[in-house]
Amino acid sequence: MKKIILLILEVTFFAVVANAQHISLVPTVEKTVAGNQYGSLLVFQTKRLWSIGGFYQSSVTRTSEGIQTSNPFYGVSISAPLVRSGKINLLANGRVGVVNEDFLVVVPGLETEVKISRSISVSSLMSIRMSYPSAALRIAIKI
Amino acid sequence: MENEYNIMNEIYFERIKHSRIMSWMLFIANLILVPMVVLMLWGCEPAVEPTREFIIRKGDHYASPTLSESLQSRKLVFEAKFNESAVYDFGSDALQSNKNKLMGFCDSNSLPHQNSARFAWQWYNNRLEIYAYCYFKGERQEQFIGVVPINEYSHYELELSNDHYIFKLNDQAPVLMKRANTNEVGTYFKLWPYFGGHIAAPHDVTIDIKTIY
Repeated sequence: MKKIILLILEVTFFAVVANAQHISLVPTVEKTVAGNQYGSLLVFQTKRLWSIGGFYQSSVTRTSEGIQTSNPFYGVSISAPLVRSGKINLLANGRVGVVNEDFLVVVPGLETEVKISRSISVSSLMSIRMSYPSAALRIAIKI
Repeated sequence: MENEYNIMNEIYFERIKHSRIMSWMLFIANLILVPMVVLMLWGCEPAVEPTREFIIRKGDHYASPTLSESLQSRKLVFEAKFNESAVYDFGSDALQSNKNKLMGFCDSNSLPHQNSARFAWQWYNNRLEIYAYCYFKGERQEQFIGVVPINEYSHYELELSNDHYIFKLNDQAPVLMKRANTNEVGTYFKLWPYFGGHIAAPHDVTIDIKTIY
């Protein structure tokens, strides 16, 4: 039984997938202490899984006049691999950007990326925003 | 030949061992991170309740917890509650009128004593008085705003306009204080409770602050 479990785990997590540098579009939803934010990230990832890109996200509220966005947050996102294993990777993430046009913000985080297929991967990101934990879900689509 | 085979075997064994350790690390990291993210995203409640209890210990100026946080919008909104620990007697008017700081922020890339805006408080004439307390190009400015009750939350707003700080306390009329022309884009560090003035807290002082984002 132990061998079977180990085999399943290793087939799932131990697979090595060849990486090449590529550009991805990453829709993102992030839950912060100030509410949910939605946006996307355009990122260039090297074959060693370092990545750099630009992002834009904002809060969305539905009012009687329609959908309004607030608290826009945009800037640069950088990820560095901590542990790599092809299908699943653990990354250190840092975002530097501007909130509401004037307020410079640095957001450190920890990200786990799971490759679903050759062109799609899903990642979860835990960060510190406004000195509280925030959680983000990202879907990266290779373009 | 056999020796070479053994060496190769050892190398591959080491690699497999290394990969297995990595796999387990990733598995454990995911086991912790993914449920946390999923729970936080799917929960209907706010992820955390943004209320903090600040305690300034007897003999200290600074409150704990010590926080480093920056402002992220043009308005700082919070509710604060004092209790009986806000009552003190230094025995002289000069000392009693030293302003204790409640909360505020440094202006863009400035230090607190260059350009900043804070709500301040003092126990004076047997009441808890709230002041607007600013530094404008290194010069201190104070203005009385109002009186708040103890053991009740009061509502505070501090807004940045282009040339003024706008202080609002509960439903009272806003108080405007001059703001220096500083860089717009930058870091606006929040400033947290501080006792003094020159004299440290005579006993433990507790303040509850609920930030409204």
